[in-house]
Amino acid sequence: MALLELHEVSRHFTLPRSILDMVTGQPAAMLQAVRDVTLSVAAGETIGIVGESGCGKSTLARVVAGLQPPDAGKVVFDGEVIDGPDRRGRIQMVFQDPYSSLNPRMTVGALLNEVVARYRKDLSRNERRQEVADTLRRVGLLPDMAEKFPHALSGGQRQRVSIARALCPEPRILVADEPVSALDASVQAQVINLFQRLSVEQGITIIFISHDMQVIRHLCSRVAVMYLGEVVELQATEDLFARPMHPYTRGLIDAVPDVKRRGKGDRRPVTGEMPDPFLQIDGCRFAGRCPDVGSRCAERQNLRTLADSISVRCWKAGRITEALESTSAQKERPKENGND
Amino acid sequence: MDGVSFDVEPGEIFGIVGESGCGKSATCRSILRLFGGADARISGGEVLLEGRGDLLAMSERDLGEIRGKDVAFIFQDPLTTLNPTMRVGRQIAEVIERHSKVSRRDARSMALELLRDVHVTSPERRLDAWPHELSGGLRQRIVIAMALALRPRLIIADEPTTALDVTVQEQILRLLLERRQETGTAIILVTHDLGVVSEVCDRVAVMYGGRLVEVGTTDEVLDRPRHPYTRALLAALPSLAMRGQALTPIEGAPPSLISPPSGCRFAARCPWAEDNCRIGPPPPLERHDSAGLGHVDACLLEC
Amino acid sequence: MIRFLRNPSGLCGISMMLILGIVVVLTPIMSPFDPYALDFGNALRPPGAMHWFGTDNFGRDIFARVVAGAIYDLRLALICVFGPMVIGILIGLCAGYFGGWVDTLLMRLTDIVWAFPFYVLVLTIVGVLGPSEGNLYVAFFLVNWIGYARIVRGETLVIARMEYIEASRVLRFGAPRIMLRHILPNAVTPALVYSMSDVVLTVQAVAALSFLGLGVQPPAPEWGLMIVESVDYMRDAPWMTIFPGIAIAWVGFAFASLGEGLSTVLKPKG
Repeated sequence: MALLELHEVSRHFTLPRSILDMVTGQPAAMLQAVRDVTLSVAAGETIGIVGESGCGKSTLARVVAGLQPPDAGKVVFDGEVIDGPDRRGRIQMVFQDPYSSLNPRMTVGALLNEVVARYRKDLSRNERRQEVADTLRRVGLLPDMAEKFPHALSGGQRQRVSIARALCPEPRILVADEPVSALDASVQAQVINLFQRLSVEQGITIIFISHDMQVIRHLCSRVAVMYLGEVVELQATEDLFARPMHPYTRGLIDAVPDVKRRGKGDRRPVTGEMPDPFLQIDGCRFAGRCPDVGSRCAERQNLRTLADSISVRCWKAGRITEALESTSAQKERPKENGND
Repeated sequence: MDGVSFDVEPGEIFGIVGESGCGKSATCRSILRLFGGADARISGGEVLLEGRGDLLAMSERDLGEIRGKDVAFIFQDPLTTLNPTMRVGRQIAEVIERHSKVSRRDARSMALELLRDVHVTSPERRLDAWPHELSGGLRQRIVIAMALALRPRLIIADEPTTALDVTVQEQILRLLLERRQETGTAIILVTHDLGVVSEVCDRVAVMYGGRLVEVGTTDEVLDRPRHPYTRALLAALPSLAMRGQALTPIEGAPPSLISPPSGCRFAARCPWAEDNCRIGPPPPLERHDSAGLGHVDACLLEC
Repeated sequence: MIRFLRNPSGLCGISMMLILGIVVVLTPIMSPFDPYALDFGNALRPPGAMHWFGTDNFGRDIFARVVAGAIYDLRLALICVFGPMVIGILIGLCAGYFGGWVDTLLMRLTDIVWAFPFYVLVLTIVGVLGPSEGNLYVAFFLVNWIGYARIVRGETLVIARMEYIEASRVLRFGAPRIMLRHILPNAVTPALVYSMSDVVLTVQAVAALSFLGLGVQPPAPEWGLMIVESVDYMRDAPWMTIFPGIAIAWVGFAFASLGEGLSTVLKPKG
């Protein structure tokens, strides 16, 4: 049995209606932030959730952590349905903004001590202090950092403190919501390495949410791609990047500026604008921007399992990928005749 | 900023890349003296615009002539660049009217043309839209349209895509490339993202600690980086690393610009630093052996 | 603390209060007069060597009364300000943190109290309960908390959405701990600054109430009351009015400066 299971989790937000709307009987505007997400996470794996703004990944993160309840569906952790944050703190969260993740009026030591005191009631005061120092070392910080206030720390250090705080209850799952997006590239590397260490050395299950495909590719073994609240593709990382099945995934990968690729290659990046998220679309939500839109796209699309551990929400998937592969194979053949 | 010198050729896209606090924003704002009330002063140097002379020595009035007309500026956040109380068509038209003597109606139709140039869908309708009704990508297109309005010879874009989603970023970058092709305008593109530089820029300058540390063509700098900072920056990128292998971060933190260290400003974090690196003035940008033509770097060591 | 003293406003405020404090402490030693002692033979004497601030119509030494009044007025002001402040802070925290019906309920309650002019409410309460110092406290406790509730609710609304509060919830810290240990220290500064000006306003309000005969009763040496009692004698013995008035202004200015200093110093660093 998987460690964490999501069954058709949905969450929507409704705007309050104006009086005019109430009088005329207009239904309230509803935004489906997360729609029918079904996902299984195995113990010890690092799964990435990638998507752009408005795709619902942050909302999904908060539902998994128990901060927001799902409006439909359920989240099952270790056999039990989640109802609010885990009582034993076994699911913890790391947030995006290093500046609002820490209480500006508490020293690092004080805030870590508070968590240790909550979860390790058996420790004496000195033992707690030792535990705080150990936790700081675990995330690559020196114990003397405990005296400092958050404003004296750099963004990367603050994120590490946030991670330290999340590690104190010895969680089984760490939900990381864009933890490196606000950091400089050189500092991102430090924090990414830390996540990797936590996964490899301590076997913590990590749900890593990001809009940055390259980070996800580096860190995660499986990736779920989200678009407008739905999971549109779920595959092992290397397979996803080698053979993306969903048109949006392809477009997303092609859109990422890559130092290695440098403007070459056959790319089909995504065109058009993201539709109004309040619009109720019955069929495929990507159809408006899809280069391969077809007749059946107006029907509601389900997440199909194409093969073992490959799921796509597109009726054409599989067929399109083959077609593209054969076209690009044709294009490559002339180049092989020694030009470089 | 300290001793920053570079040339931008007509029609080229010149990238300035660096991390936060390296001085890249300050550099491009200094070109047009756009300090926005900050307590900043230019203490030396010159900015020469072909056919116009030194922008730093010019009167405010002459500079006002050039701003928008010869040199346009694109800021990072389109939401704060656009006036929320004015329809976008009007804002574009206003730019045109301010610098040339056209009627209101003509300015409006020129604005419509510009919207088509930047591939805004349903341009007639968008002319009368309010900024808050538009998505981030559309807003940035409007800002680009405003920048292109007077056919400037140079556009300075300060992190124009940082606040945008990656698919939108791709569209905007492609738009800039296309516009450069059509109008021959040069672009100075400031970014922290080496990927963006690799996709779009012809030449690139790397900044660290308020100084330039390497300048060259994009291919040269990205394939054969000479300065240790450039190398370290590339090594820290996840895209170039093997899966499962640890990345190579740059330990330490950027130097204080208030009291910069003597010698090379990167020495404290440089894995190859020697004693010479920490004394005296910071090393100058020079062409070293085996570097390509036009490829200069500010490192004393040859490697 | 040190930063507070370096700040000019804070320094000013503290010094003024210190001067007042020194005077209050030293007076029983220096001045032999009892603030309550009647001495009709010496009535209405202008300020002189014997009576530094002169005497009032009952022959009481005004200096002694002003100094005695300091303790009285300050005690009044502090209770009438800090008591309601605690109430208001708790209400504001709950409203801002829990939101939903709790917030609606508490805010409607606030609105109801807010809808009535301050003096109308206080007068009604004191009028019903009878004029006395104790009933003055009751009235203020029932009425004066609304400003604090609103201020703290506003701050709480912002802070409760911060990621470190979300983190606290994921860490299963209880609501009381989150509100008091995490939100309150970050939300309280505007309330503290407001309380400084509230002290000034309260001293004036108490004086006004004394003027109306409600609140503190004679022969208490409360400054407002002293001014009221001097009204008939303003032309002949202006010193009866002036000195208590200066005292009120002094304390007012001191607290305003303290508030200035506090707001600068308490800004969170970084």
